[in-house]
Amino acid sequence: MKKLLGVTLGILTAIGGFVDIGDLVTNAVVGSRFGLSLAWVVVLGVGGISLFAHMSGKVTAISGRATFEIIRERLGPRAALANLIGSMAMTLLTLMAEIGGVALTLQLLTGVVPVVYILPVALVLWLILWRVKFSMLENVAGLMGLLLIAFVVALFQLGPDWGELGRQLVQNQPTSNENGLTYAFYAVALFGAAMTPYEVFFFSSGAAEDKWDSTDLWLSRVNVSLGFPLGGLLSIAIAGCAAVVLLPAGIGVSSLSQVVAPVGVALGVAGIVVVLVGVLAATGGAAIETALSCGYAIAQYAGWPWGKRVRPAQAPQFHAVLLGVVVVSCLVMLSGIDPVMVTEFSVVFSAVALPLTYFPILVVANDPQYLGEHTNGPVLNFFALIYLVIVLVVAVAAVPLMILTRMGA
Amino acid sequence: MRWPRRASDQRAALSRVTAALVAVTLFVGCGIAKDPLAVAIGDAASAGSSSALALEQHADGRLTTAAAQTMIDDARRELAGSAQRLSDLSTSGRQSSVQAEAVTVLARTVQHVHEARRSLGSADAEQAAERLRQDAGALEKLEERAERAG
Repeated sequence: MKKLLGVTLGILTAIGGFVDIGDLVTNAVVGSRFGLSLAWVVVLGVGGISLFAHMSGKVTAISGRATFEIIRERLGPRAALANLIGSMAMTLLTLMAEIGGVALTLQLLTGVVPVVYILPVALVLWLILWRVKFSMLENVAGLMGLLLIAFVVALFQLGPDWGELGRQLVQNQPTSNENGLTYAFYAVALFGAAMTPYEVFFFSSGAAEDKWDSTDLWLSRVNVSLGFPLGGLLSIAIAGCAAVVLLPAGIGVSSLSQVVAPVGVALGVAGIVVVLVGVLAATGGAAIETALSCGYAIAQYAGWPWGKRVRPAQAPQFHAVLLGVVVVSCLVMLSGIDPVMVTEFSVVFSAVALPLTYFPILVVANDPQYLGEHTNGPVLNFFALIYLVIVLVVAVAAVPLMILTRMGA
Repeated sequence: MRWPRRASDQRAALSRVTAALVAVTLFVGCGIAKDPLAVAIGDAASAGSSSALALEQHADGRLTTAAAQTMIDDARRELAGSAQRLSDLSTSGRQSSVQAEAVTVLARTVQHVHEARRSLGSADAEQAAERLRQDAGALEKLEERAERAG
């Protein structure tokens, strides 16, 4: 019974924790401009993140060592440092976007301008990182994030023309007033949002925090094969709501208020409040995860003690990094920069940084020195290689598409 | 043409290739990207529709005051950005007349959005929403004209 509860909790937190500010904004933007014609990218991205999160969880569970520690050992300090800098720059940008997302959500709940909230949000974030246990962090944010199911309920309540949504799903091409390059740009952004690098580092380091071993591999499989795809359905529901309410009204999403507006149209004030609490949990939870991912990766690379399972006094450098990234993000967001713009940049540059995260994990997951008999089988490697090619194409195409389309204008 | 053997020559060649690719991307990008005049007008139309939606949903009791205010404030910011881009654009021929008309309609929309913010929760909200819908419609037509003229 206890095990079943543990599995259920794992799946629920994977669903609730899947969506962050990047998924919220990008899916709504895409839904309001292209309907559901880009939903296939979410499916593709969910497949990729599930595959690589499982591999990185497996590396930690079998070797008992953190992914970045092994990457440094396997690829050498210089290659690992380049990898660390690329991945951490993107994770820091994502942390800024998440803090901005929390402040924007509080504005939607209270009407007070977001810049007022940045400092208190950063302070609370740091206190949570300092004091709260890992299991509590993971479960509370993940379970509250489940309130985003309001998007699914809203989609049904809106009573859309399902035939039309179905046609959009199989359309796989831009609508008449959008050009092919803009469609490709948003495909890249959506892929970057679904496969954000920090999720993989958080998943593997979280496995170490939860003290996984080889007997927990099935738990990893269940979490990623059920939790992530169901989280992906939430993403598609966000795009669906925007496609039903905003696309016909000629509203292109450029703010978080427009992302949640369709829920109000469908479910009224109660729905808006529920979904805003869900967004708060999703962005707050992702802020915790991104800050921890920065701390995990840097501490693991440097060989410092790390994690929430050790007392802060025993891992001072790890906690100093956490404090540092929160302070830097807070200062940048206090400058008044638009959090939605930061989010848009973070998903595009996440796409650029994808190979830096996924290539080393694939190398390590095939090394018997670390994984013994649990190295990837031929089927897993076949799919992983296909994804590696996709990730490389996306990474190369991201910046030119950003320039060519003037950031998807 | 052969790829150089020495590392320093390879780096120099790589820099030249990268610079050429960036230049080509920028050059091609200017031709492919959506017309900036149409984009600025389209964004303004979207902001007008967004404000109207916020007013209507608030009047129907389906949106909290804080959320409706935020949505209108976001639209005001979007309109300000569009107005800035519109005034910065240098156009010629048929686009100039579209630009001039768009500036007039956009100024009217900004005024209507300010009124909408004040009318939130009052009996005037419905009329304010209707005015914004008309502005958005006019801007959408101008967007189409800008695309054709571009």
